[in-house]
Amino acid sequence: MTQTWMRPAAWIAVLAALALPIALDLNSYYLHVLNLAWIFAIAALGLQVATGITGQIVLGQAALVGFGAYATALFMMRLSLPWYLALVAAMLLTAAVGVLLGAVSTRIKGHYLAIVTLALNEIFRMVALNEEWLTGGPMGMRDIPTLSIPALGDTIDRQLYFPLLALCFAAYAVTVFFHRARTGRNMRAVRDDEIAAEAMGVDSRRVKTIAFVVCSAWAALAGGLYVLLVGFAAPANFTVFESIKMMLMVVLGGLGSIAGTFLGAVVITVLPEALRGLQTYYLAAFGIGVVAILLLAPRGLGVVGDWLLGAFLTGKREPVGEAPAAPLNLGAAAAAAASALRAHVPAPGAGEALLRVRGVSRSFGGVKALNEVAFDLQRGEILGLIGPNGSGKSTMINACSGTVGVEGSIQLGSDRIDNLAPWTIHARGVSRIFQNVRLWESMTVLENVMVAHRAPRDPAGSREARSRAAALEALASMGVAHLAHRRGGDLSFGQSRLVEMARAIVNKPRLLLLDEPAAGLRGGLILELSQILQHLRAQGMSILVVEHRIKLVMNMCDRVVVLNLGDKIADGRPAEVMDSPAVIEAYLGERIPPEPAAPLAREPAPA
Amino acid sequence: MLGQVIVSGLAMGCIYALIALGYAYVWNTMAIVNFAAGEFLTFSAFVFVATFTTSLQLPFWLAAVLTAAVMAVLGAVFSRLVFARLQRQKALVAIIATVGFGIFLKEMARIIYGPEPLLYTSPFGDGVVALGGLRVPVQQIVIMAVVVAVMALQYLVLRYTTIGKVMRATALDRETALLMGIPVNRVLAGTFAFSSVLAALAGILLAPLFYVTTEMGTLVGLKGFVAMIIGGFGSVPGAILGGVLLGVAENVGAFTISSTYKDAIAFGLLLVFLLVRPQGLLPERNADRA
Repeated sequence: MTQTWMRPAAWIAVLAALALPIALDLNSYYLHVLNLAWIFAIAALGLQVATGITGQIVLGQAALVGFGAYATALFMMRLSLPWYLALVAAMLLTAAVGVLLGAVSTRIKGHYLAIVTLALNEIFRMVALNEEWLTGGPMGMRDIPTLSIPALGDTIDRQLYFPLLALCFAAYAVTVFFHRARTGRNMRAVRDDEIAAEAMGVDSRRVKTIAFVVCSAWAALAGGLYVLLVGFAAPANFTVFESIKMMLMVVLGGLGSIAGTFLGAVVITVLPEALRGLQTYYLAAFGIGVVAILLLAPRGLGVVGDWLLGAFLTGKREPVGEAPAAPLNLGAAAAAAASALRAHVPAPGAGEALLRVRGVSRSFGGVKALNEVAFDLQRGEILGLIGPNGSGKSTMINACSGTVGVEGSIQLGSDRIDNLAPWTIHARGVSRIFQNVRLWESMTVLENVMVAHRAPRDPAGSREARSRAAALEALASMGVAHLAHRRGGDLSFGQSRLVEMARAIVNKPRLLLLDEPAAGLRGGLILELSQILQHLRAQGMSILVVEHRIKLVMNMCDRVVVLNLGDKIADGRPAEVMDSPAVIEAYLGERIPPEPAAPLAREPAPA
Repeated sequence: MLGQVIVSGLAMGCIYALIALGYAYVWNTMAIVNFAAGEFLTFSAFVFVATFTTSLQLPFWLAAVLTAAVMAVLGAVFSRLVFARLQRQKALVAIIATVGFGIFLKEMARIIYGPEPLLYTSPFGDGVVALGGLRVPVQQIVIMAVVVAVMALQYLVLRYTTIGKVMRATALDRETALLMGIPVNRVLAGTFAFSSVLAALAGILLAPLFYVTTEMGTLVGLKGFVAMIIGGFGSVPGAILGGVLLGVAENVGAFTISSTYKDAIAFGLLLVFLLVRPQGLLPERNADRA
């Protein structure tokens, strides 16, 4: 177990170790290697943000570093800018490239993004090699003025040791700060499950663009510092191989671990120098090492790094009550809901439609999942959407939340919402849960709910604190507040379902879309769920719920719409709908005409 | 002159098609992209030239067959140890892992065979055949003949056996495929062995055209992947079409636009396709939509 004194002690040891090379007056070659390690640590940090934290694979980080390096050199030599202005200008220019990459990444994903970034790295190398008038060709740019701070020592490596280390730490500190706040949460949500993130209000285009801007800016900072340290830049320094080396740093540090990246960068830079006798083998060992780490120990050095960061990484954790004796606390929540209900009189169907679906169609390949479907959902109503498997229920939910595009019109209040981006629809007060629970598994339960919270943008008070409070309240209302600091991926299916419910209601949406909320809940909890829905309705939410269990539908819905093979076949009060011959036929098949000749034939029991 | 350029583009395109076909097969059974494909090519070229031809002095045909056999065995082993385990991982992890494995393979070639480039002269000589008005080098004719034969063979196997369906079932759901009596492990190892043989063929055919170096396969491997994207991700006919098209476009582009940026042409084409027709020329239904 971690004692309270262990972490500060470890920090003191780390800081002492970092000061040691200067204290011991190490020769300038070793200092040079360490300086390169700090620079690579910054470049790898950018890559970690894009790839490890946001899930956008970049196999061309060296090109971005090179871009920053050449830009810094050119600004200094051609425009005679002082080094700090040149460095900042190079970062801004490279960040602009990052904006372009972000735009590309919204259309080009996964394997395509990998090959495209790799190709861009190759193109960068060719341009640097061939456009001699600008880049100096294969020999690169030489005699770039380097930094010198005479007060700190006699050689440049000694002079720049602490400044580079300080800049590196500053970059890491800034990144850690954003990682645990809204920006970082959104990035991790996009990485874990992009569709869920979009449906919960995360503008994935914006998040990816930010990720690529950070990736590029840190790359350019590293490239500029490199130039200021060594005084030259040549195409051979920024090849695909260098990109892959930076990817090794990220993987060794553990995908997603910021502190691990630093350790990974130090190991990958210093180890080859320490083991110079084994030079022939170390690249092969790194190659196979990546495979082994990914398959056998995916957290890599992040295990150490994340422990060191501790509360810096997660923020302070407020105590959240003990787990209740029962496996889930839904009973208490339902009791609270019931007492709240006695105070409020629900007013379903005030005659005003909140959601107006008209002529909505959608086909997948040759299959018509929805065919000219039309229905209304009244304000304050709980509307059931039922139908056999494959009847288009989930597609309807997806259409209302913006996850799939459709033909036809969907109106929320007085605004059309069909084919809007999911995050825009979420911002208008529509929230949902998914049929197969989609939590962001690497994030804590609390973070899961905080991602969905949209705090109003007023200056008073901290948005972060308000999101936290709102998320805890939503979790408590579903009876799962005690799970707040557990990882999303560690929960049972029933628990995840309730957390997902909390995530959906944290903004008190006008319209709640529930795709089989009772799936995975044990029998007793199902009827309590029905009470919770009544409670949510009493708070002003209107609910569209897809459900298979007829008993539950009869119990909780004011009205029911029945779909079959994409067509609406019934619409009305639950009891009426259940008696409709079309519905019985869709669920149970056609009535067999009585056949008196067959002795064993029995009249099918009426449903 | 342009005719000449197109013919040598066709020959190079046939090589891309071989590699692209390997990608398509691996995608269709394992649902991963093997970014180490180019390094398989490199490694087999070294095995062919350094071990079987130079050290053991074997005749061409025997050396070629043995190289294919060695690569098939290596492919099956690697598949069992590494690649088959990646299907369950996220695409991100699988991509980085195969890239890492590629470095391993490339470095192993350097450790075993040394850093010096090897020269290999074609057993078919450097003669030229006059075809119509064109003068076509024999090696290019050999390349095209071999690749056409391989394509025809794999088509017949897919057409007249259930192997294709078995492969796809394995990719879609390995557990269910196993329950349905498909020998999943053998299917995975077999497919990977086959894609390694394709890479070996490409290495053997390219050896007389390029110096055999540790870098020779890297770009060819990437362009093979570009060819598969152009043809349609995971589509077998698409891979062939994309490969040939890419080879010709690259050569014609280098001839008419800029030979300095010859290697950039493939990537420019890739960007255009991804933005304009991301599903490729002959799209596959189960393509990677990620």
